[in-house]
Amino acid sequence: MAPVVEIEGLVKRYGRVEAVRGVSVEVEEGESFGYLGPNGSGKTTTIRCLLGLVQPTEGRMRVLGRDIPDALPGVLSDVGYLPGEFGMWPNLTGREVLDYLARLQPRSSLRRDELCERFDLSDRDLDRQIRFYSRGMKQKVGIVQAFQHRPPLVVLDEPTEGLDPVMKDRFVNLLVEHRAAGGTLFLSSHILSEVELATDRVSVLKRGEVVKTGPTRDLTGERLRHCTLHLDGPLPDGALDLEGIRDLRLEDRAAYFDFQGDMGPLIQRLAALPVKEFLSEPERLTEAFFDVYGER
Amino acid sequence: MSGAVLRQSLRQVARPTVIVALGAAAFFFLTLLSSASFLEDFSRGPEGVPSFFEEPPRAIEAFLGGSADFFSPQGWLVAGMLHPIVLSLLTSGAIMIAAGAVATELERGTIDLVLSRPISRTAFLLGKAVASLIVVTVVHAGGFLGVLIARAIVERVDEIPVPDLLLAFAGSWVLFAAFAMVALLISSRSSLRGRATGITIGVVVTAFFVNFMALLFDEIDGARFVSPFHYFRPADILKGEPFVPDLLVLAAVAVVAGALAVWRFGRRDLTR
Repeated sequence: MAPVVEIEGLVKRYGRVEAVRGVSVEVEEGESFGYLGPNGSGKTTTIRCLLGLVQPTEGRMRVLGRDIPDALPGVLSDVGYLPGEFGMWPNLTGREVLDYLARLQPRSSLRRDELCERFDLSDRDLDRQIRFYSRGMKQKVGIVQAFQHRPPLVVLDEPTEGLDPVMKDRFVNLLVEHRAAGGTLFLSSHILSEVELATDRVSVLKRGEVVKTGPTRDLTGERLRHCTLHLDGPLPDGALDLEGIRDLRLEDRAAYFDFQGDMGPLIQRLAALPVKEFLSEPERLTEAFFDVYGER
Repeated sequence: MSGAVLRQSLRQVARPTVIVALGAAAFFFLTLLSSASFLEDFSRGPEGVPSFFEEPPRAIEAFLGGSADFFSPQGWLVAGMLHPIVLSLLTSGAIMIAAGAVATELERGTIDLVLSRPISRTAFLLGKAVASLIVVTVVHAGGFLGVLIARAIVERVDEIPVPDLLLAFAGSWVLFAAFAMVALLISSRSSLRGRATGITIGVVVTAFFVNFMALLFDEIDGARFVSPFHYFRPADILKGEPFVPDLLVLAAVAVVAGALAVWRFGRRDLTR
């Protein structure tokens, strides 16, 4: 089956500035893909090329098996998009904005009512003009317009900006549901926690280039764990001389170390010790990101 | 063309369009109403008429498009059609949607939401272009209505035949349709509404003054041909002189500017 998103050797130059430098990415059907990078790394430019909003300088792109930009109008009826920075028509109500955007989309807005309810957009809210909306309210309308026509592919650029923690949680659940229903997700963000929660695979972008691509879990949990060991008795000499252990620090009846690799031998070794408590905390994506990125 | 974009664009400017149209109606009505008082004074005999009005200075004639006739309702209508106030109102109508067609949507950040849907850039821009022409039409209809009311109420204004009136307003419509398409072209290249509006107003004012100066100074007489205002001479239209070739020039300006706008917009990056 052809990937839902194929980007090959994408280059975008603005004058002398090279915003995207030879990016190649593939996203399979039903996959939840994270596109990570700090501001200015080229995430938004990649997405805007993908949706035909800017013209690529070089490279080839296909979405849902069709060439971009040639097949763009046909492709876009199957795409939901939430831009990172967007505005709305200030003298329209929230409902009128959703109606207008729905009229531009041949697919029916099957999910609108359900999504409005989920994100606490009441009839009263929807009947107010956008100019009276808070940033978070606008973001909720943005999310509804991206999902209301049940698109097979959803492209989200910094989707949780302005949302409170409750709404963020509901939003992550929406992403999980979308994927469970067979939908594909292309999520660009610099908020690592939401990428960690919602994606299967990520690409990390640095100054316009993809510097790392892999399963999200490889970049996090299975990659490195921060371990804390409390014992009922003293730790025998050499008990933690084991491949994968590093940064070992011993304190009376406790040991602190990082572990990377197969946990089996470590568990076996610990079974022979008077262990009172053992904590193994997966490295967060944040740390992995900076590790890949090489700077803080 | 996108009907949704057309309706949304008109909706955004519905109130100002009605206000400008009412302004145009009021202006033409009051201009022709004031003509009545002048014409009444003149009807008492030529003695009291200052020579200024019989032989107006060339600058006044040039300012009024090359002809100044204060002794007929037609002359007053012509003066009204080329008066700076009415030109401002009609320019407002022409640029209300067109100058912001792309620039405002980009500046406000709404264009991403629209063009990430299955609508081509051409369909989007044509929706804006048609909406602009509708606004130009409504504002002209307001002016036309003002003249019709004056025609029914004010003495001697009914000397202007309705078909001639229609032709004069049609000529003005083509002129401002051309300016609307120029505004669309400027907007299609711009990312800032203020800049697009300012440049368009600059183009209209420059065109007006090029025609004015060319009519005033024989040395630069030929320059009037580069101004769209040269191709709209309501005095000639009301006198029954041939005007179709002039209006075809203005229509060509509109078509070329519109086509260039579509071409340019289709190739640009939508970045602020």
